[in-house]
Amino acid sequence: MEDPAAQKEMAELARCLGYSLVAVTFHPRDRDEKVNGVRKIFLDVGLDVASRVDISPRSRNELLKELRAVRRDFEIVAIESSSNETLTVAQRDSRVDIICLDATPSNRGLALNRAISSSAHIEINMSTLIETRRLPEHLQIAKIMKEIAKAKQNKFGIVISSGADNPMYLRAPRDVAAVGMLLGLDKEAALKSVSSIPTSLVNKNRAKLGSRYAKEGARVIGIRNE
Amino acid sequence: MNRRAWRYLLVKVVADKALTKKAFSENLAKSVEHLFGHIGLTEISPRVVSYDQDCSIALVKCSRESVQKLRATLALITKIEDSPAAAFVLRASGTIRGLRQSPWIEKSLPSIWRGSF
Repeated sequence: MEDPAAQKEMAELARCLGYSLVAVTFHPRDRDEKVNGVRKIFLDVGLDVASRVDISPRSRNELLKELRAVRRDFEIVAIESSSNETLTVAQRDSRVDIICLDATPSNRGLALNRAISSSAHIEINMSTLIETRRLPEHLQIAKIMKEIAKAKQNKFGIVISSGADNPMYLRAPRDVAAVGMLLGLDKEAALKSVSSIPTSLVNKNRAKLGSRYAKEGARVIGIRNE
Repeated sequence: MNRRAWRYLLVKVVADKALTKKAFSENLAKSVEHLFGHIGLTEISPRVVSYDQDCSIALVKCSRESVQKLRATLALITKIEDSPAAAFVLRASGTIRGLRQSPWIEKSLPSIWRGSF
């Protein structure tokens, strides 16, 4: 969505539906000027914006190279890959925030095994249900339910996103949570997946990208001149 | 016997063509039945109480226990009468008065959407 008028319309609708923070996906090559331009449009209607980038590496090396290139520039890094090797590395890398399983035609072989160092969350994208169905509806629902069960079993945090690129596909956060409940989440987990989990993810990354961040659990509080 | 408890939802319908209360009502019932079957439809008991054609805002009621199911159904609506459409739940309340009197409507609902609300 490149048109500023369309971005403004989307921002107004999101505000009206009760959102306070939205993640906007940018191209990996987009830099500060574009991000700030979009951020301003959303801030003008009273919405906070988190910059997000989706990368689709085909191999482990490509993943690591792309992570090095984009990690410091975006607040959320999402990985979409159909390679099992790449996804295995991604779920163990603390620089990966979100893993989208939608790209995998069959992720039966994917060993979801959350590492302690991992901060990755599994994303359920609503647009796969209402916008771009790759499978018949009942099979798509069954696939997402299976993914949720697998993510729960492996103690991954689950984030449900609208994935909307058009105002017609945007839904209110409580409606998105209701769909999550339909797909196997309990009420508390469904509400968290559209509220506290994404918010804490953004806050944590903003702290990391800030100048005072030194290491996990360590922050620079001052520099002594000697 | 206890009275059945209801929840009321204020729903904004966006569609390519103008809809009537009957069209929206029939489509809503069809969508609920598609997702939850006949038993689900009976349990949820969705009913369009009123529909403002000028601003496309519907007041829908359902059984209190099934409000999440109705929200999910509304979220998954993408077509009404074969044309692209979407339904956004703007507010939910236990009473119609609660929805109409909400100061939120004045504050947050764009004026073009307010109509008789």
